[in-house]
Amino acid sequence: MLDPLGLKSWILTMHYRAKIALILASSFIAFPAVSFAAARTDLVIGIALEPPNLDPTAGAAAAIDEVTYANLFEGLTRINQSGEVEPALATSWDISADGLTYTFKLHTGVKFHDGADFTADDVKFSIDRAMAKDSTNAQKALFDGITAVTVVDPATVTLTLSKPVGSLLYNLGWGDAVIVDAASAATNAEKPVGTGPFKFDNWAKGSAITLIKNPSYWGTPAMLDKVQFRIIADPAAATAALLSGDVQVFPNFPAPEAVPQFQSDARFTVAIGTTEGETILSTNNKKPPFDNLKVRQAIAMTIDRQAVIDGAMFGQGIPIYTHFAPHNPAYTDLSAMYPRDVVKAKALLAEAGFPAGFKATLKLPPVTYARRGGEIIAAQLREVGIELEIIPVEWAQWIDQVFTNKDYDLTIVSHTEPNDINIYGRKDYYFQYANAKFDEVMAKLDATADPAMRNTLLGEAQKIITEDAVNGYIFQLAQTGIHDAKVMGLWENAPIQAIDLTAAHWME
Amino acid sequence: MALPNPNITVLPTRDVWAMATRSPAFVTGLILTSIILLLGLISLVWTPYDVSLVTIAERLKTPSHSHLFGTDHFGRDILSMIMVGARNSIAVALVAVGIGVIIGVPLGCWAAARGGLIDASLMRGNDVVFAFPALLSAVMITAIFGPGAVNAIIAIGIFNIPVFARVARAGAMAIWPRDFILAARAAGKSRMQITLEHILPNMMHLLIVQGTIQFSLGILAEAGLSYLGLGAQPPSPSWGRMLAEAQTMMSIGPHTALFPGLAIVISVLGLNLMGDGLRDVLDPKLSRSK
Amino acid sequence: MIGYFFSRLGLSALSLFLASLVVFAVMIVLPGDPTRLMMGISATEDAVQALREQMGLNLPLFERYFTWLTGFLTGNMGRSYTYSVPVSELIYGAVSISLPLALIALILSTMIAIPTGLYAASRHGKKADSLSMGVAQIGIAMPNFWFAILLVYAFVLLPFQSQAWAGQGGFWGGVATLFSPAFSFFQWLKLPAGGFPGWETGFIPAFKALILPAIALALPQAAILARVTRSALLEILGEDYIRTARAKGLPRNLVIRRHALRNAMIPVLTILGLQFSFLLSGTIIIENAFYLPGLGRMVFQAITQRDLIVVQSVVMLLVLAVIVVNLIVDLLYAVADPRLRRPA
Repeated sequence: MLDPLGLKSWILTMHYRAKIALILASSFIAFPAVSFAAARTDLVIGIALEPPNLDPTAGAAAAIDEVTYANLFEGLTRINQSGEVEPALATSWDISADGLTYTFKLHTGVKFHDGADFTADDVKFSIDRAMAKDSTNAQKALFDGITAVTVVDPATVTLTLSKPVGSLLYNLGWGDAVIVDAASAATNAEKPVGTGPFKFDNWAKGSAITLIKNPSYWGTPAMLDKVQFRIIADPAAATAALLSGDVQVFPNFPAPEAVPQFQSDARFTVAIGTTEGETILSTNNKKPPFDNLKVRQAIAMTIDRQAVIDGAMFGQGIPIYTHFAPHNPAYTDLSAMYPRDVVKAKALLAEAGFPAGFKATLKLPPVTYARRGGEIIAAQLREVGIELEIIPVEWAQWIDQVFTNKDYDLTIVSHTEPNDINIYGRKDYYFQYANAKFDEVMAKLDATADPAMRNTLLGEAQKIITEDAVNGYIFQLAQTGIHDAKVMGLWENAPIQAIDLTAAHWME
Repeated sequence: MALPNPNITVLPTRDVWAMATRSPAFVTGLILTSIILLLGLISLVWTPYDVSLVTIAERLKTPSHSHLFGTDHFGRDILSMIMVGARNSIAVALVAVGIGVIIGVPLGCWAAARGGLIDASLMRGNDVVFAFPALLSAVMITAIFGPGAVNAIIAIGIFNIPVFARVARAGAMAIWPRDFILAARAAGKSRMQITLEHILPNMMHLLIVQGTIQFSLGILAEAGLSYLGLGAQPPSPSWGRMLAEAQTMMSIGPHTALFPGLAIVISVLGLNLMGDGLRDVLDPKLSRSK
Repeated sequence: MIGYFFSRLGLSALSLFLASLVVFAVMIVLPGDPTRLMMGISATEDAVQALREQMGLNLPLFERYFTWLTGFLTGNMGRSYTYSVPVSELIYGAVSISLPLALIALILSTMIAIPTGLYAASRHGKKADSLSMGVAQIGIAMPNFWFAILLVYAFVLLPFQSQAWAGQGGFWGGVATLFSPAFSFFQWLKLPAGGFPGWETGFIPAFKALILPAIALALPQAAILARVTRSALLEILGEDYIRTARAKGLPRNLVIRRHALRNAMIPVLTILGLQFSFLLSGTIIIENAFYLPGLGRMVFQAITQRDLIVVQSVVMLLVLAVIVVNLIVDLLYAVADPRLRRPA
């Protein structure tokens, strides 16, 4: 090939010169790295959302638990990475035969970060405070059924219930049920004082939260001296921060589009796990034309789930056909009920009296899955003549308009609470769905303890809501964790919203 | 003739045009603005692809013969989106200028004609509006009414009101003391009549220059608002939102950020050059130093 | 002069008072319940009500306005709904980012603009003049957030991505290798693409996080300033005393540097003052583009999270800053030009 300017050969010469420069440069850059290699004891974790405060007993935001759970605060019990209940501040417990009295034996010699002793009085204080009428605990329901908390001796405490609560030990393992000290309870929001293996060091608002090792921890001490949660919401900044090594762990990476880049890079470990988040096209079942079953069925048949997953989440997510997590043993595969069929959907719309389709609104909260997914869903529904006007809303407006006042046609949101199919039985929930048959199944479920029987009932419930096409079921939200391949001891699954760093450490 | 403000001269609009077309800046600006205007107009009847057509398989394609500017993260044709985006940008900026002219100019003329308390309170109102950084008020306005093209127009338009009121007031105040106005007053014409018959026609070119500047500022403001997610909403494309989306795609599709940005630069540059050219013609003080 | 001073001061105070009414009115009409937002969708109604009482949101409007205003004036601005820390503390943290950012941008833009304006004026009518002013026009037309995106790509993403291409052959592989010293320099420099590590982590990492935002913020400012510098210089060069200096045989460049520049600084400083509110708008966008927790991003986030107690005080603070800067500019101008001392 002609190369009149000699450009190619010039570039090739430069190629070798540059290589030498690169080798020189990299040997220079490698220097500081050598001194680090021995044993790193610091870790920077990227989080996309900043917690509004650091008191898990006074706020619903997942980001609070992510920073504080197990790291700063502990409860009587805790939930481990397989989702099972383990003892924490309680060493053991006895449950009376009628299931109405729980007696907890507590660890002794435990101290709060400010030096105060942990005793049974703190347990009584914390639970009473959470249950109180003027309490601002966001999950008050966790304590339903508890009538009294009694201090037997400094290391023993009894809970008395009005009715058996099978999930009590699990409930007490939630972040909202952690034990706090009366002296520091009021200031935990900005200066948290707990019993955990790390203690609070600093919070630069909008930038980072720093925790340091608690040297006088009662249990297995943490393996890191210092951990910093750095708030990085921008996908491009998150990508750059990981690439440059400024941030070494991103448990919930906010840029699905950049994941393949990390998967092909040996320096990183990418773990794509599942969450409890069913992402659905919530539908206002009382508002015409969505009160018409045929219209909802037509929507169910028009949604191309894989296209949404590919387009909005760059392939990360599992299609769902009902309001249940596919990894749950009670999950029922209902994909065959309304397979994608645009022709049939149009016919259904015509039967419902909308041969030319209709116009409706789609309110989207400020999260990537909703904003991007919404655009794709709107494009898909256009195929059958449903013209959606997209209205982006902030969370404040979403809660106000959609959730509280039910002023909406369609919306996209991920329901992240585990086992939450019971919301379909709630009176006046924002779906505005009511079906006596479903309520019956739920009532039966409440009265059933046998796991196999429970799964059958849950399957029935799933079938009812899918048949009724209550909402458009789209996909199960994936959780994409990316971390430096040399960081060990992190949770692979997230049965609860936590970033437990108690066992995290650097490989040699 | 003694003028209180040397920056304001009176020229017939016809001469202004003839002189302006001799200014290279004006002509360059006119060409650039026309390109964008034409793109917007064509998009009313034709675009290479449907802008709302989502084709995931075609996403993030770099520029090629089938997609001159490539495709975005949903596989939509970027050229088509820019064409429709041009239409949206122009519409928002133009209506916002219109709001400023329709409300601001009468206010300014009124203040100049009346003086006294009316003038003083109008100027205080102006000061209060100017005390808020423009973008901040726009963000608050869209927070109240919700995001969207119409509310972006309102947010930008509110800012144009005091601007035009100020220009109109300054222009009118410069013209009021002049001989032919005195003659008209002596003939018994009302202030309203004088304003309509003499003041307004004589400051038309001032308003045109300011209009050009506000138009370009409006396009930048619209881009900024839609970048923050407060402008025109999907599926209707807007340059600012295209850039916001491109920002998250930079590591895999950097071309998506190139063309919307260029479109903004070309239209704002075009309008600014036009405004400069006009000002050079209308403002002898500045032209002297050229 | 003293009369003028007090009348300007009085007018500014009046504007400030009117602005405070506007701000408070906006807080009342903003839709969305901040308490419900704080507690989440699963919280019970009495928990929300308890919080509402705790925050004093059930008091009459007049009382709320008065409490806020006196609090604002005494520096006691209440506690943020979302962060539950004193608002003044939040503002302090945000200002410690926004102020250095604005200052670096200001210094950068002056450092670019004054020499450019000077150069263009001294080459008046020549190609260099048209060229530099053409570049300035493009700079003015460029949205700063687009510039921000391009900067991040060129200095942060590209250096890391080019590693993969450098190994490959072909034209792009060659280009990547050619630039690899620059790329490895930027890899080593590790400029963050966004976010802020906090001043606690040390001066260098924090400063690095401000470099790209400051450049993005400075460019349009520099372009405007360069044009103003040039035209102010040209205007002064037409004045009699400059002509006299030239007639005495002083070389043009020396005249510009010794006489004209100093006098041209008055309009340049005025423009800088008038551009202040424009700079604040730019900061809101740039801080959002780079996720910097400064005042601009704080107020934007607080609006979307309905952290009204933060919004009202920060907005008021920004308005106060604009009014004070304008007042100073007005007074300086009056000192320089006595004809303007008539009351407006």
